[in-house]
Amino acid sequence: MRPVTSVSMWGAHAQRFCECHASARVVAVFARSFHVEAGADFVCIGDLSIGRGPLNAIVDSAGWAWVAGNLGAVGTEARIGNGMIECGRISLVTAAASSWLPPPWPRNPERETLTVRLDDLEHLACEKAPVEGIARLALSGAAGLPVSVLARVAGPRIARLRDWIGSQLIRPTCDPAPHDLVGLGPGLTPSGDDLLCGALVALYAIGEIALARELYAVIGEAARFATSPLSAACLKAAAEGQGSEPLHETIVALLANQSVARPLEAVARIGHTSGWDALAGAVLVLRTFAAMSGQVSKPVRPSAI
Amino acid sequence: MIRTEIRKGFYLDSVALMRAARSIAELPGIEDAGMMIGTPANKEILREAGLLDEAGAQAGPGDLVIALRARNPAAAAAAMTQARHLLDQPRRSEDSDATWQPRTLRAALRQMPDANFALISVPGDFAAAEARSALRRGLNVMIFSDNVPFAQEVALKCEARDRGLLVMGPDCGTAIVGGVPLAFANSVPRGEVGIIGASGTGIQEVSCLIANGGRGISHAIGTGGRDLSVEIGGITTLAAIDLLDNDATTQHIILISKPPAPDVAKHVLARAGKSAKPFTVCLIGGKPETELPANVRFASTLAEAAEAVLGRKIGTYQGALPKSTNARQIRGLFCGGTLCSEAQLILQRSGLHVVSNAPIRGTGGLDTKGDAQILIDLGDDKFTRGRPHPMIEPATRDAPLAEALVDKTVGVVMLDVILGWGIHPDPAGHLVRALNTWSEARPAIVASVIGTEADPQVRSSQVRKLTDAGIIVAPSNANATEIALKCVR
Repeated sequence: MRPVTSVSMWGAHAQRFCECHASARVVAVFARSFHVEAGADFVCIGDLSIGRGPLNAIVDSAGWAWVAGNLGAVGTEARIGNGMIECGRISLVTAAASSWLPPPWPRNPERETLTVRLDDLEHLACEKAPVEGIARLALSGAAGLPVSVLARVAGPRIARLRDWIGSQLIRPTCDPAPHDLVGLGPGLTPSGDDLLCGALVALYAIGEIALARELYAVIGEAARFATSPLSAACLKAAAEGQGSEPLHETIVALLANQSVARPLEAVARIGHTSGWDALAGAVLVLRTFAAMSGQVSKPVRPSAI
Repeated sequence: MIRTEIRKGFYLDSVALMRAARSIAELPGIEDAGMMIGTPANKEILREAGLLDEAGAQAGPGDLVIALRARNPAAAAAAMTQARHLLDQPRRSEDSDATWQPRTLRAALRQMPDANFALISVPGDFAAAEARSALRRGLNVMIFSDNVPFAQEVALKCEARDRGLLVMGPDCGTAIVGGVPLAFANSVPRGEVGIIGASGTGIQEVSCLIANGGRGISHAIGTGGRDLSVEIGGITTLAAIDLLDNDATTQHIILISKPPAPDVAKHVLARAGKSAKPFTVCLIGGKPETELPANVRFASTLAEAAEAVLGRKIGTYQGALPKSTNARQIRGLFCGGTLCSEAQLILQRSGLHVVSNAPIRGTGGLDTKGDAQILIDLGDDKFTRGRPHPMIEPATRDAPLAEALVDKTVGVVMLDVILGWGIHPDPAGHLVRALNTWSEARPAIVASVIGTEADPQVRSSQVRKLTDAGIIVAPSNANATEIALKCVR
């Protein structure tokens, strides 16, 4: 008997994946999820622990027990259509899946309180963020971190991104966005990509959508050859303002002057460094935003002319 | 020297990659190691770290680069072999412990292809599917889960019989297979006594009494509480008899159960009668109506079953009894359902009116009117729904115990303290702490401790805690019931 279960919730990119592709291939199988690829698009199908996000399709725990027990190996072909993903011995009904959308961004965030919240968050990050990624480097500098090639390489690149975002937010220039963080660092999605995802989502959060697009125009092009296809797909979603739910919730909490304790726990559970690295990218943007004078007028972006 | 290897289009979760790289870097003769996706930026990092050679430089952004720098070729080769092994073992989850644990039956079998036994402990609605999957992979199955639909149990057991396999359970809380305690079981020496039991605590009590009496257990096979029903017809019990009958180590077989359906009892006893080995049948709450075969003897209590094997009486409590009061009620608060049943039986035999939430034949329900001895099975679904079993979390017994202590009609409180694997590390300590908060005069407390010296909690240590707190500790549950009876007479 072919086990049948349902996708209960999926993100916009997972949904689009099923609308745009008729066949795909399993490219990774983990204990709690598997990844399916078609062209340059990905969907991550897994149990509740993978969390909500643009590329994620969640099967409830009960259904996952069926899926995990019957899932084929890497390379298994998947057929998509008629509200169903058929993959090896499993069939996943997608017709009744509800759509996950990120929560709305708070309006008119207070920059003073945001600064205080960011100070608290950076203090926490110094204690909790893993040393292997680039989050601690981005949030609090290299002091106290073990000397590593990654830190030596990533430090100046993070600084260049920070400078570029700062200059673009305050006085837009024609300088191209730096793209040398793309594909940099450890992990299934390299730390540099995670940081860029966080920065892109945070630009949406503060209403700088045009700047997010400008940044992605450069890094999206670089991602075509400089990072893994999965990571490129995550960057593409971030360029539309969508990241993992815990990242959104943390940014919302920061902007709304609420406690970040709970969403931060969820951020810390994303990969080994991915959640923290993405958050570091968001903080990099929010810190610049908070430091801006409230009276700064918004000049027209050169790219928008 | 630098050695690299490329895995094309290879995805592994971040935590697994990091752990694998760390473990390779710590190998003897290895100066540094890294495992990264072969993006241009990462190749730059690997090159700066002195970990990239020409071969590694060919990696693409979708590939994994395994890179190491070793002091000599032998160390490099050994480390690369270990790296391949780490990457090829079943994938671990992002938050798994340092020790890899399979999340699926399939992964477990990949790790241990010779396995012939699966223990299923998942929510009841899904246990049958897992058990069926295990059977179809040629595994014997122990289903710890409860709330498995009856029809699924019947189907599973029929399938197991057809495949020549064993399904222990559902709701099989205790087993000892080849000397290995499974679920709630005790550390008992290996020996020549085989036990087949529909009850977890029944198996625990009998195996511990036998162990404490100097004998050992070959295997203890749980069947699940419904195996001797008409619908199932004792499929697992009969299969277990076959197994133990054919087992050269097993010289005496004990069968523990609630009274079975008469036709099933007849069938099971007929099978036992064909064996050359002696059987002791302990049916709590009822004697079989059919005549027993010559090699089968009946034991009415768990203690009697153990005595039949030991060939002598189990010791009894010889200490002083508390002064008698006007309070005449025994309040039994049991973690073990079969221990509760055994106590009911003994009190019934003494002519007392007994009520229980888990009544055996002759016992009334809790709503029965009139003075009665009240014996509660705290492991019953009503108490454990959404809460841990009192064997795991003894605090579950605190509220009913406090209720019994303030009840002026209660002359003695009976308790079981169950030890073993999977059970609370210090149930006696918890009980004593709960009693220490009680400053008023309290009824006498009589307990039995089910366990052995080899158990994680150490029986003598638990007994000492109880006796130091003024609790009477009897050597068996049956004797504890007799002591309780004396206290209120």
